[in-house]
Amino acid sequence: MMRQTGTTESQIKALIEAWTDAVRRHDLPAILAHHEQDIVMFDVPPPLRSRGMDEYGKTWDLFFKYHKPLQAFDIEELEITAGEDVAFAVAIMRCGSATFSGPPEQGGFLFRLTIGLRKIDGAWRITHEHHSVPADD
Amino acid sequence: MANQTPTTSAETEIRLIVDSWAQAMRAKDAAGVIAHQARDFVQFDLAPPLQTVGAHPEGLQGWFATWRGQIGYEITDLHVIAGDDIAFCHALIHLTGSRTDGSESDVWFRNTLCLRKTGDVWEIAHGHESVPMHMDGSFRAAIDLKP
Repeated sequence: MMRQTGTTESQIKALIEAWTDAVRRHDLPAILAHHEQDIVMFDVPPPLRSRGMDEYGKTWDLFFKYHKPLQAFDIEELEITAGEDVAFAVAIMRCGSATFSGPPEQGGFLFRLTIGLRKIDGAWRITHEHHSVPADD
Repeated sequence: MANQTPTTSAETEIRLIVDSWAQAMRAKDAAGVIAHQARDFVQFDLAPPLQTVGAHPEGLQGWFATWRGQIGYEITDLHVIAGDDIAFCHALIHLTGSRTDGSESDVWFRNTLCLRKTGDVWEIAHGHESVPMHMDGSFRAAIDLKP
């Protein structure tokens, strides 16, 4: 297999872990620190799509209305596949607790997360995020 | 990017894969859809469950059977980010058509595909399709949004 292992995946894992930690702390500059200007975000709440850093930042302003600092934004499963300069990460995440549906739910809820990254000037940068839950209807 | 030329040709290859995959969806050709998937394909589907692993032709065929005639499955704003052997792409898909229960479908949803090249062949390792959820407390699927 030509796939890179070890260092590259470890770097990306550390980046994603730092990002989730920033989300839990509601530290917006740290959340945005490793994103490209042309980020395309598919989020759990509307709109259908957010493009660019301004719109991406606004998705977090909305999130902070429903999520209290230090509530869960935790990685349950994470699989990273990395090439030389393009990578993707596939994760199951847990989000707690008063989010979306009103009364706090014990343990929060699970959602799906896909992240796309590019290596630019030697550093991995997030250019795409897709967050979702399955639709019942 | 380290290699502009291979990246460009990889992007062309991936656009062809996506076109072929979408054509199989329109034609309700489950084998044609699965032909592009890696054996360990991880799917985050529009509907539950949270995730599935591997091919599920019976699930696809069951869904195809709810449509009369061809399925409208138009891919718009496809962005491809491709390295030599790893790539991902995202798009908005406009799903339209007549259902066997007499209803008409007209839904926009988000699609992300992640690909790996094995030998000379690009395979779809992961697919993620979704609609947003309304934030009004109902947590209803937002199937009425347009780009």
